[in-house]
Amino acid sequence: MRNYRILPMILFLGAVFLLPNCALTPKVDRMAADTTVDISGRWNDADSRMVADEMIRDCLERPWLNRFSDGHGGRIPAVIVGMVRNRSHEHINVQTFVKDMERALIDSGRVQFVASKGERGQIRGERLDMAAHASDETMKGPGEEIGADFMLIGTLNTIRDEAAGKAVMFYQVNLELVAMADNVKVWIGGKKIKKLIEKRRFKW
Amino acid sequence: MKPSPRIKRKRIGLCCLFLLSFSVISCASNIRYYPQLNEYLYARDYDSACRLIKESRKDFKKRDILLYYLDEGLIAHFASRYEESNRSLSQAGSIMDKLYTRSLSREAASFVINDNTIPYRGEDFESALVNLFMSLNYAGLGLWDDALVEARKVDNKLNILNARYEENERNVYREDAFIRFLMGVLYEAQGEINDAYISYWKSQEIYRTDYLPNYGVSPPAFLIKSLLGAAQAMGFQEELMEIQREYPDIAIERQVTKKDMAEVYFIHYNGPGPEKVEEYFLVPMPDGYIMKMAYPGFVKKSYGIRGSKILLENLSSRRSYSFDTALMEDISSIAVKNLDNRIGRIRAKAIVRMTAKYLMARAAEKAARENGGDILGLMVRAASQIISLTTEHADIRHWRLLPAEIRVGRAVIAPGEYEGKISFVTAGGTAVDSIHTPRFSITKGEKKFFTFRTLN
Repeated sequence: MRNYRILPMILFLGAVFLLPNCALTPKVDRMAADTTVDISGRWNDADSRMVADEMIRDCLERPWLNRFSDGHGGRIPAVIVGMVRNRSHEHINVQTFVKDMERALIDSGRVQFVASKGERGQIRGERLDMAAHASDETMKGPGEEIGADFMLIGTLNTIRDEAAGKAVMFYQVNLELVAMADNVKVWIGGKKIKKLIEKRRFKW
Repeated sequence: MKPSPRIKRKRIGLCCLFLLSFSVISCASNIRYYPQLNEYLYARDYDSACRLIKESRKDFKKRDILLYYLDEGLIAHFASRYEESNRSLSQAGSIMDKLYTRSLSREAASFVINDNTIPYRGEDFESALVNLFMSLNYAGLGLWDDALVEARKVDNKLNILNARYEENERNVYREDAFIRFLMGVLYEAQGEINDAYISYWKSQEIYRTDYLPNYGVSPPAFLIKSLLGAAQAMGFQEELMEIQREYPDIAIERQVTKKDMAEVYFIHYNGPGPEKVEEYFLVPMPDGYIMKMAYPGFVKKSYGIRGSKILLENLSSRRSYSFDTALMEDISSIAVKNLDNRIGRIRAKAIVRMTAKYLMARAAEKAARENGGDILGLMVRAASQIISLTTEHADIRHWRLLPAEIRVGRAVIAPGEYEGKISFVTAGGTAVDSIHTPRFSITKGEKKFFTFRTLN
């Protein structure tokens, strides 16, 4: 009879010990990469994706592409990624939407990208190494690189207004394609994002 | 119906327990590492200082954890461990951000116990300085974009903080001249001369109209030189003449020469920061109770070093460069003014708290007298008097490791490899201490930042 009384007690104590352990294990929900989840109100993956989608669509629709191909015997333009400057109030990795855009434009088959300044050094180093170690048939020689026709540059700006627990965050991303030959800007893409962030002033 | 003796005892017991609990929860964290930490700082033993802070984390109560990250971040900054410093300061910034949402229960407790029951959310100027030091961390790492993000946050934060107060209660510290200067340097490093010009202009304006009358800090000559240089580079002739009229003694730096040169910035964190101390007075009540009213005040600490001189030598050409640092941010004065600006609100709250404690003590005494007689009434009166006096503490939590001032020395030097020495001097110009600068090389157009800390 006494054992029956002890059993619920053991179960209760066991539950007391186990519960905190359950709480300490992080809960992870996997979700589709294109799901929008806003937690802090700061720049996030959804903003980056919105910028990339808009820029890709706009860049491929504008006349600069056809004008270039028509003027160069059907050749597709070569673009180099220059500086995309973060002039915002947040630490934003601009590489996320720039890379998305690069990938989408390459996949479209209408634009080609050449390695940027930072990437080139590594490739040139490998080419030098090839000259010493690779067979003549597979070795890649110097002087074969494609010069870029355009440079992609841009800025990310923010305007923040905040008072009494409410903040309006306005992001403006501008990307520009500048012709390497004559500095003519052939395309300017823009994306504006506005968010209202409300903070609770009190909790219990 | 009169309560039974058992219920009476329970009531009195509960009353005492309630008052006793005040003493238990009214104290701030018992952090005792500052004397040892200062010794390490004197000896520039930053490794030991970092270790000591990490080992002392357990001494910080949850409500004071912000102070831990502030200390950890600043020591790492003094040690030039910029990434580590940014991690800690970023954590501090997040805590400050979260504490915007105030806990009603804790706020209520602060009205009957003391302000130490509320999580420490930092003084307004401390909040801005978090981003200022983060900006300097990024500048030290050569990450100009990120340094500018933090610099913009300083400006934004000061605007937001001041917008919370009524027009007549706003802080004197509402703009930061030093961060504007830093923004100018960073924009210039990125080749954004127009933005650099605007930042330099704004900086000198804040020095002239705000820092000089409020803290006695004038715009340093090299700021005006940079401003003149940027105006000239942009072809702003009218503005150039206006600046020259305002500062006739400062010569313009030739941009052509500057383009082939490099720039070095020596940031000297000087002196111990101000200390927040408790000020109080005792108020005798008509019925014999003595109540205490406590509030904080900043006290400036004294220090002997009043300047620094830098001597750099180019190792190939043997050409040497000698220049002084200039005061750019008087943190002690900013702290004093900042607290002065809100002392009215703190004192008003202290009066409300004192009144609440007095009424509670009287109620407890009355209950004890009615339920247990005069002797118990006297005992409860004595106990509640002691408790109300011992629980009334001013909130003297603050960022103790801040320097008293930020001094900056800047020189335009030829590219090359350098070594040198920084001498720390008294008001009379006598060198009392010196250290060798790290050996460094600098290329054309490059800007480098170095930091030094002195306490004595």
